[in-house]
Amino acid sequence: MRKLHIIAGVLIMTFAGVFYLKARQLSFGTIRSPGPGFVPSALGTILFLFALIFVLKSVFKRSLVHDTGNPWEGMDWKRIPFTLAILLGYALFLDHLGYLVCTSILLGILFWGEGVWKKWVAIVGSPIIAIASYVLFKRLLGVQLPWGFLTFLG
Amino acid sequence: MDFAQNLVYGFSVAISPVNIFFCFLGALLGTLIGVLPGLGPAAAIALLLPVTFKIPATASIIMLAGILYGAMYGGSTTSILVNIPGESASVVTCFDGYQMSKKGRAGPALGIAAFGSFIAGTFSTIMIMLLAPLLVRAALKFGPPEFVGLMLLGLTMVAFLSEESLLVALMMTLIGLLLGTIGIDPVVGNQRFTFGILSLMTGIEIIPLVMGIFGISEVLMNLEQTQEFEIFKGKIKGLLPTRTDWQDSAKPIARGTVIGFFLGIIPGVGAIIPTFISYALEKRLSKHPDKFGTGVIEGVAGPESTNNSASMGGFIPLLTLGLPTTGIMAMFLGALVIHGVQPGPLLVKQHPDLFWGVIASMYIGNFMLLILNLPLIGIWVQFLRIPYWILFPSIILFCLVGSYSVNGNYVDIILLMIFGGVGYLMRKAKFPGGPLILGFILGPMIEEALRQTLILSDGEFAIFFSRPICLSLIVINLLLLLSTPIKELLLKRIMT
Repeated sequence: MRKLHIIAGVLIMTFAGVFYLKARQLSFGTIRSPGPGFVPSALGTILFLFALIFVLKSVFKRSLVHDTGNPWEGMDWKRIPFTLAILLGYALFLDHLGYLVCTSILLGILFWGEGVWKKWVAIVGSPIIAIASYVLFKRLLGVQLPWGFLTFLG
Repeated sequence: MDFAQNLVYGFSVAISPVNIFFCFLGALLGTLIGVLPGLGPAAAIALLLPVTFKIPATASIIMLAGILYGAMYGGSTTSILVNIPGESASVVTCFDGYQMSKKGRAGPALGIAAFGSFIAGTFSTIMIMLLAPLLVRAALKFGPPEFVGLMLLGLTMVAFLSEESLLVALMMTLIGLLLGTIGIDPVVGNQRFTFGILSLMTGIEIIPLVMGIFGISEVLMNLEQTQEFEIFKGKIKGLLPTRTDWQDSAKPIARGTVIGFFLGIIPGVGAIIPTFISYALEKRLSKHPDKFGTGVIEGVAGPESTNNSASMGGFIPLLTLGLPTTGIMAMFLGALVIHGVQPGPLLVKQHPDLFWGVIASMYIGNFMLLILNLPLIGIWVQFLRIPYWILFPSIILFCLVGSYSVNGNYVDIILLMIFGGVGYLMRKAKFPGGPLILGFILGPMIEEALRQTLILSDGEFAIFFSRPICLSLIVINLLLLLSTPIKELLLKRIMT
């Protein structure tokens, strides 16, 4: 947990630093008439200082948060980056492949990975659910979903 | 309009077919979500926020409110039957509820939980109707400086009462505030931190943020561990509590209701802390405190009434001052803003249908929940059998479509993925998500009010100290912020 806190603290310091530097490029204005950079630079500075204190406290073993040991111990954590990568792929290919194809592939992978009781259920079920969900979102909720290369069907 | 007129007007709005339908839908979905372990009301409201785009503002808030108190009702079912809290405010119910279930008294436990929640919900609705107009009258005297003080107090309270360290909660609040500055500057219209990405010009959308931090992260947490639920196989008998049960539960229900409601109004308290207070209080006042934890009905009646009234108490500062007191209330604020409704003292004048309609719908919703939860308890138990391989892809799909539907842009899905990953890491590091969301939503409002104040006062910060209400808010703020380091220092001295 301590390691995670130190890494998190450094990441927050970086985040605050980036915001501060970017805010400096904006007009700070004056106290009488604050500009667009006024609030973000103040917030960035305070956050940077807080994160620094957090890192120092974590380094010197003064855990600020109830320490429950290694949070990944005994966990199947490899599924997390895998799932996030699938979501990223979905985002990047959605406009090109369209909702139906992308969602069928996504659901197929997720059902398969989650241990559906029979694999054919994942293969056959995914496109059916994709079509059903398209109808649900499009008809009931009026969401515009992309057709991708299947535009000629739409 | 007086109390009776408000009541009649509120009910006339709430009983319109559209509002009744969404009230029922909210109560139904809330119960379902409460029953399903691994999906709390925060995640559920985050998932359903995009749905509200297509619904009128009043119906949206009625539905979301139904989800919130429905989840509070439903959460007790899994706590009592399988010893797994359906949502975090039902943790305490496990202590005695499950023990009652093991003794074959699941029926009275479920019954008293439902009746207690109904009584608490009814009391809270009446109290909201009585207190809200008084607060509105006071809040109408607020100017930009008071709003800065009030919103800052809200942020501080949420951070102060956060389960983990104050420093961590403040960092989360600041991250939320910084994320809220992305997009067009509210006063002069300059672009800020958009990094050339067109979609960021209007700022980060609330939907991918809350869906990521609460929805996706919750799914990811569940994904890395195999959950085995013990399915309740016994028969549930005697849902109607006996006379003895009522005698034992009457006072705990009354105390829990009052405690929950008033604590729920305080920013940052939420629904979890009051349930623990209620349980501790009942144990202290009991003639047989040693029996707590072995299956006494008071241990269910008190906390279950408390969590319902606490979750409803949070509506008072939101509807009257525009101040969300928890992460969930921040999402309600987001839903109102999406519909172009600005919560605050003017809400009751500008949107009386929404204000009174939502309050009246809570009473109707609580009645619906009583019917949904008692006769249909057998059906809810069956939902515990839904395998996670069905639930997980469905939630993911809902999040994806929900995020995409905001702007019809894949960038929002990428943001969803990023915030989902960040939310997962935050949960691992035990960093609270509520202050971040609150900071994100209140950030632009605070900035606007702060800059307006400084323009009004010609750059004089003294304006914050020359107005009594503002000054008191700032003093409370400082006291809260300084109390933790002072307490630490004192403890250190005592130790040495």
